[in-house]
Amino acid sequence: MSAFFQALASVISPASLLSLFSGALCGVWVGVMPGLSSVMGMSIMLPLTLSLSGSNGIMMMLGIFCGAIYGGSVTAILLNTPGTANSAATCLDGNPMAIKYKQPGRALSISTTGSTFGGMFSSVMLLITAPLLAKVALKFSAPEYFALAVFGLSVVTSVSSTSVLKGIIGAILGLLLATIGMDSFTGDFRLTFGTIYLSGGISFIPVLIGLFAFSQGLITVEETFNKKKEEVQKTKIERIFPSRQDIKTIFPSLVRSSLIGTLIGAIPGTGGDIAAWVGYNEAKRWSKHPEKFGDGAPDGIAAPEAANNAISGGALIPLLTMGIPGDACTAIMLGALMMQGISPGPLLFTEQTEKVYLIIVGLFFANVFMAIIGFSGIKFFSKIVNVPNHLMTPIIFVFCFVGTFAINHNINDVYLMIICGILGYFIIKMEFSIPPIILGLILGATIENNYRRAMALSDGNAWIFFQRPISCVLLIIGIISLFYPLFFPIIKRKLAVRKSRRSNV
Amino acid sequence: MQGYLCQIIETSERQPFLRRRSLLIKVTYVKKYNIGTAILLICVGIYVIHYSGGFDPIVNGTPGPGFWPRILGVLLIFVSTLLAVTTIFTRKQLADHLIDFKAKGFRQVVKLFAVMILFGVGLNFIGFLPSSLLFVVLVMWIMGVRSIPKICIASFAITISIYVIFAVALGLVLPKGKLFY
Repeated sequence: MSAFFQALASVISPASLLSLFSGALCGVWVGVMPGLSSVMGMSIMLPLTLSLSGSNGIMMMLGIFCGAIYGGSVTAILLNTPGTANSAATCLDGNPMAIKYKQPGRALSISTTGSTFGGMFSSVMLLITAPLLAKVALKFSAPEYFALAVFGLSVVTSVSSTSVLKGIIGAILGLLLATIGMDSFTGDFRLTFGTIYLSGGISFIPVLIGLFAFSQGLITVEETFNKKKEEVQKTKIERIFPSRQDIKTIFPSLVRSSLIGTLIGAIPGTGGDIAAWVGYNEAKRWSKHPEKFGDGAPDGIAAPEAANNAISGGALIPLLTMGIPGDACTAIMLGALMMQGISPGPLLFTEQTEKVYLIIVGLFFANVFMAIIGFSGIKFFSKIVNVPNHLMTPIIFVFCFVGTFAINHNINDVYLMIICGILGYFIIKMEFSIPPIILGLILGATIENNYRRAMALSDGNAWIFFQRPISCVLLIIGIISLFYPLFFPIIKRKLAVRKSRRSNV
Repeated sequence: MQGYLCQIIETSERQPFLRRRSLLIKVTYVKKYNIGTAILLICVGIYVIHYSGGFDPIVNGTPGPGFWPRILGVLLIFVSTLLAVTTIFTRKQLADHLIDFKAKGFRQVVKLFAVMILFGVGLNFIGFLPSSLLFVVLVMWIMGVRSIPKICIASFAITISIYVIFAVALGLVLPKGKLFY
């Protein structure tokens, strides 16, 4: 308990609060701008946060994380264009309420309320469940860590890729990149080609910025070339806070969707977009007036926003307890924590208890600031959207270069970022997915080292992974999640053919 | 060759009995991206296996430094081969050109590639301030902005703002350039 109060005292210091506020403001701005994703914003700002002293960098990253998820709802409501993929479901009811029924303020206030409730709910859930899960994770050994990392990588691969084969190839490439550098067991240099730069391994931040931010910027330039940017027309924001009637109406959806978002966030590989759609569908299913969905129903705005913000706490559960990132944003958070000297995993709860509560309390306050910025800045955000692309694009690219150089002050990082950016452009165009590559790079060392340790423990017996129950279950689920998208359509087609033959007979 | 293919497709669409053949040609033309990528990745896999041959796969009865890269190389070859085979035999209609090399948008992207590389080199030799000023000018020009005062003001404002935020406010070190230091 004393660790909790210590963390609370640390978070409510002026420097931490300023970092949280700045992060939330940057995050909302990133979320509002179409073409900028939460992952892009976090990857660009990561080097900046590393320069802040103490835990202020972590506070800023949490602010960006929460703000970016919420920010996408502004353009979803005003322009019918989600600022981030998490807010796609919000378009369905948010835009009709704003434009057709001329109530943009009501739509934005419901969206902000939903996001705040979802984020705070998931931080409380994180506070309750994370210590319990950490006790279970203390029993983990090398086989369990290997299986968990493979499970996380396989779920991300199967969920984030349009083609599972291309996703698997991406994951393998990421794992290969992770082998570059010095082998931690024997000290041999692998795939360094005699260069000193590569002998320390591939730094994941230039790869991250190149693959996510830089390549996405190039694709945005290509897609928006010669196209006029849709502008937000001057609209009167008639209210800032939701009415009592609206709060009473949406409250059941808020609780349901927040729970859905927290659970989905806790599963490695799933993100806010899945949570938002599941939350929306459940709200419609439980509603007394499902016919109103799609035409400005308040629940249709509150449910997806509560669900997508609730993943912020949920995704931190596997990250803090087991060191496995839940999605691309938490993968960046993992990198940020490690560079700040915090090693996520079950031992974090026993050796650095104050750091854990710092992150949990920080997340709660990040949602508070997100709410303050959301409610007070609604009129301002509708103007940000109108910033032209020919100004935004150079700013984003310069941020990429400067941020990459700022990590190690090494120009080779910048060259690596450029190479990854150009390759990333072609990777995305060829319909390969980026998250498996990044997660492969981040989890590669965990997978290889724990595999070798497990084999040393078992004297070379590979069946150890299936003799231990947790490891066995995780590996089987991982294999099923990989092969399910390949075989399920074939099975479904065969069953349909059989059924139609029976009905013809 | 492309013109010839287009002619075949156009002719066959007017003659229904040739539609199946035209579909085959169109799909074959488009499948080259996947197959080309698979071949490239198979070469990468072969190289990784060859390279890791110089390391011990087993050390004291446990996997050595050569074990894991070799496994990954084999997996890469296997999955890439699977990708090529499934692409060749798929009945699904694949998307049209994944990359339209003749589109104006793609040409802008290629110009940006060159500008990015120049910016990277410029950061190393002449430092952040002059490189960034030039970079913003070039990017805005490539994106179609033709008003010189607008470009100059934007370039100056963006460069100075980023310099103030990063170097002055946050105290981060920006590239100074080898020629001047």
